[in-house]
Amino acid sequence: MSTLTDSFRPLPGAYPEMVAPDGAIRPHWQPMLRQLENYGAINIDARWKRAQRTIRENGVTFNVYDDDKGSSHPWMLDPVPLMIAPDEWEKLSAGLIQRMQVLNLTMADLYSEQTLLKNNILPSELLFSNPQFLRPCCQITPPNGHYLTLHAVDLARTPSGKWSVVKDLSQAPPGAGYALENRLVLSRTFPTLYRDCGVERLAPFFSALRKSLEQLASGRTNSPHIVVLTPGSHSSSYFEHAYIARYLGYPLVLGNDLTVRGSEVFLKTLAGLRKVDVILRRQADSLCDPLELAGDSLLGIPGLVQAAIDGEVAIANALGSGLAETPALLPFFPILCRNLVGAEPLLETTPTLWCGQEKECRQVLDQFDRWVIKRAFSDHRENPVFVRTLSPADRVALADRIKTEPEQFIAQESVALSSSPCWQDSKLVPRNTMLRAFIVATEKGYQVMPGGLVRTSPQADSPIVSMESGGGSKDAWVVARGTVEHVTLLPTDESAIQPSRSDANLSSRVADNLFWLGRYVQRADMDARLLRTILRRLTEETQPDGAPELPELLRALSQMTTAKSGASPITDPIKQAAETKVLIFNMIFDRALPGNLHNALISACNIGSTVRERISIDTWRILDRMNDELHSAATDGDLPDALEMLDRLLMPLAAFSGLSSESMTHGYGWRFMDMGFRMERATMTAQLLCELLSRPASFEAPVLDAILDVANSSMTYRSRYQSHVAALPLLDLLMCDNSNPRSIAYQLVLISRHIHSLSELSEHKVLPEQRLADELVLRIENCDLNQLVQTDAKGCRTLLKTLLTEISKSVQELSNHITHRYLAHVNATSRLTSAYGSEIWDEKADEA
Amino acid sequence: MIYHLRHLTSFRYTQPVTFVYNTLHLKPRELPWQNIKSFELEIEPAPVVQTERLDYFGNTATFFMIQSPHDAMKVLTKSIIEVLPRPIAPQAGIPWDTARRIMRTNTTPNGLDAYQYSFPSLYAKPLDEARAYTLPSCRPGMTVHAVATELMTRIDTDFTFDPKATTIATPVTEVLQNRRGVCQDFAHLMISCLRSVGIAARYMSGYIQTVPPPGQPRLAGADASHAWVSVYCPQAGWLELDPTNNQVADEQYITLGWGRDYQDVSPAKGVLLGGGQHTVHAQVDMIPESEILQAQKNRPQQQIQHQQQQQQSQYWWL
Repeated sequence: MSTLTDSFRPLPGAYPEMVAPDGAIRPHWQPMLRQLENYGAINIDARWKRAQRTIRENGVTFNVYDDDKGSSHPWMLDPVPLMIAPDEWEKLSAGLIQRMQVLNLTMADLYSEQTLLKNNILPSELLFSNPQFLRPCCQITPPNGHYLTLHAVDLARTPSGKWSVVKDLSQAPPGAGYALENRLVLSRTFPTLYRDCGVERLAPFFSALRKSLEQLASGRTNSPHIVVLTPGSHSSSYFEHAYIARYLGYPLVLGNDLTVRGSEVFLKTLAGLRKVDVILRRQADSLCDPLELAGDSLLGIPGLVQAAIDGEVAIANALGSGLAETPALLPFFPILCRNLVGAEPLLETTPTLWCGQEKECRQVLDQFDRWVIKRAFSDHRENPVFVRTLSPADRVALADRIKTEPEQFIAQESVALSSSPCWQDSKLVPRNTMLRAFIVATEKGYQVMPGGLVRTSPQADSPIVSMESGGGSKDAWVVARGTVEHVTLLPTDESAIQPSRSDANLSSRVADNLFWLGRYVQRADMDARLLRTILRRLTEETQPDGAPELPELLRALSQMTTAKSGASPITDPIKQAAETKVLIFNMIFDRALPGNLHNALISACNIGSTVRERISIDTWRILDRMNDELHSAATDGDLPDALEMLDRLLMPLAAFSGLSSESMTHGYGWRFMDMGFRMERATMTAQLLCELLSRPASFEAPVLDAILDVANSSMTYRSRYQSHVAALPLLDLLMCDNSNPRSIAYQLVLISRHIHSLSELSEHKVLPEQRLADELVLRIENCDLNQLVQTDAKGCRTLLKTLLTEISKSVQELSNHITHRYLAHVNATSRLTSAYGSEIWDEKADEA
Repeated sequence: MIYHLRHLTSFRYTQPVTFVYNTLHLKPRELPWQNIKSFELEIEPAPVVQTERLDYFGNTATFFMIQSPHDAMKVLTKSIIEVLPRPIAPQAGIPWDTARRIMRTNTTPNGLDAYQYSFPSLYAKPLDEARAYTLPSCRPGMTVHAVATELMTRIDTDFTFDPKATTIATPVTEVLQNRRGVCQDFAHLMISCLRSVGIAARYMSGYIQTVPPPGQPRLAGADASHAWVSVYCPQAGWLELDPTNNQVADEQYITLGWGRDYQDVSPAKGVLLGGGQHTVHAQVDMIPESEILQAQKNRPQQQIQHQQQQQQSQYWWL
């Protein structure tokens, strides 16, 4: 049919998704391939490159747990969708719906009457040795009988062409968000391809999910407050949690954002506590309530089980629903199905044996090579073992383990996965393929996502398809019958949305993180500017007398960026070139140095990733670029390389502040971020001036020039005073001039404005921090510069030093006030972060 | 025997605590041989929420929550309980090595309930070491009853009561190695041993009466929380054995409840939000009604070992 498919050969032995037995292209693939053909290989490559950049910049990542680097992998997406014909999809959907129904009934029975055990349908060992069976959850009756609201099923297509269930995912089924992102990327990259193929949309599925979550609160409230609960940014699919939260329009919260008061659950927000009616949880049962579910861990929301028992909060999926994904349940599905819905299963299950049964265990050990061995209960994260690939010694060891603890293992037949075409090296190549399908339980019945998440093997001969092992993903396109209905998640009934401008419901944790994001970005900016100023003087021959200010600048740098400066001060940077270089590189790259540029940037990026859903994609890209710039420079390079890196780095740093003031609504969230930003700039500028001006050298001009350079105010200064550089006009410009965005006064005025605006959240009339902020502004605007530049008998500007120290202290005090009033009880990691900031300052303050 | 039971648990914090979430298992369980004539629970400061529910094992669990700043908390229970002789445990029965097979085929509600106690739980997992310790008591033809009773006596002989040797978190393996511990450790050890040879056993939480030495007055608060073991003898029923005192539980034992291990029925477990260190002090008085009526009467009896007053803390800090 076309050049794209001419050279394509499906994998031998596997069901070919695209090619019929006679070698022809299956009809439901043809329109898509024709379109792809129209784009042409070169065009596909070009567009795909762009799409991949978008994916990376959007931060679609998948964290891999066992990775030493702890880094996250970019999401791998293939441009060729898996095509599914409408007839086939209908059959598959019916099977999926039946499956979810049966599993839901199974849960309902095992968590109450246990007739399945009493009637010998299920062996009782299956429940009693199952760590996912959580006895405290027996008292919870989920609304509408929905133990499972969202369910996912991993499917493989056997060589005969039949879909077969490999695995159920019921606790917090991952992947639906990735499927949606895949769809958006693909439809954006190949718009005509998508438009002309007549593909079923995903949006109706998500709107059903939203409705179904709302219904979980019905009877209690008509406008439920729904949140998405995530274990945090270290979770392997945090991106998806943030993505789903944003797409459904719910706040993304961590366990620490929620609190149980009485028997109700609340979200801690800036404006106080706000009741939560429904929780879409993306974390395991064991992370949900340390009082009842966690064994001896501390994670979770104490009292959540009680709140669920009392029916004050609905949790989807219900606590305890990890039970439904027990791999050892797989072989029992047909009997459950017959027993609970009186029908034969519509979908095959991959032949599976639970070794906890004597006969089955013997059968497994007798034909050991045939099997893939997996853990019977889903609390273990162990890779499946293909027995035929084991060495004789490993085989014996595994058999022994099974004999000792037979109930802990299942054996599954290894399935020959179907093969589908993937785009690689400008051509189509075959890869093993699996489909993850999603089903949502609604009031009117079950609804299947038309499509799903397709995963492919990294190599043609690899039997494992998983993101952890480096596989790729695909979109699944279900060909629609007739025309495609357009559904959007934007509400159509305009009266349903009340205009609202306040973001007082912002969670305290998010506000705290935004505050520290502002501080770290600004710290990085000041660090980078100071370093650049120093590097310029070290690498460029600008002045005839060398650079007499260098030792002073290096001293200031050590003082400002580290808590302790261990090494002896550098007195002659030119002669001590090697030491100087070590110092500078440590200040830039050393991971162990808490106050340096590296740590400020890493902290900014880490915090940025925890508030992903609150910052724009553009802002995220800027953070990402900062990270890239930092890592682009060799840590063992030369000084000019480092200088170049700093030049490049300052661009995104500048862009960050521009973008945040222009593209974030100036609500409370922005105010917290800007306040952090201003506080850091005020503090660091005060520190810089204090370090470099309180003990002036006889010839001060080079130091003054350097200060102007760091503070990015040389241009303004020269336009006012030409080339005559003196301390008094410099202090006026950098301290008192509230029209200079780099001056301390300017920061203080803005801080004061933010504080006044935030006071609307409080019931008190005038808050102490309002008074303190006002005083501070007055003090700096009215200081007597003539007096401040005077030196005493020891040649020190004591008054100036006192003033600057006090400003720094007061700003710290303001920061404490804000933290206590609005951000108290935020999570431990944030508290650690803030302690670190004040620690640095305290040490400086003590010295001063 | 009728007892007047008073159990006071006091918590003291070095820094004020604002939020306390607690689950108590402190209400004595109604049983054929145990009538609860009255029960009162007092908590200070007053909780905002206090609810009772029956847990999975049929015990009463009380959830409460305090949300006002406080630096001390008191949980006091007062009850009047009549304890009757337990049904006589049958001496005959099935051989120990057939127990598991018989249990797994019994899917009656009682059978299922008993069977679950033969599976691993957090604090009482079947272990190779525990199995090795148990096997000498598992000779061919011995009944479950005989195995369990012999095991109890051996634990009493081989192990030393030592409140300083262990904490709540001490695993059974360590207790086995050091041969020291308190009632809770011996109960977990014995359960672990029995489960490792296929016998179902559950953890009993309650109180044991101490009797002062002859001629001495009863000391206030000298009685104690106690833990022992209940062994399932298929076709016969449950047999309560106390490995700490090498005796079958009798009218001296008040039952609060039972579970797979301590985790399921710990008298008080909670999560605190706040800062600082804390100490827990428990005081138990278990006075026979007859003694209250005839205050001077003394009956000589063997001294009974019990868990020390200073309880291990089951509280975590958030």
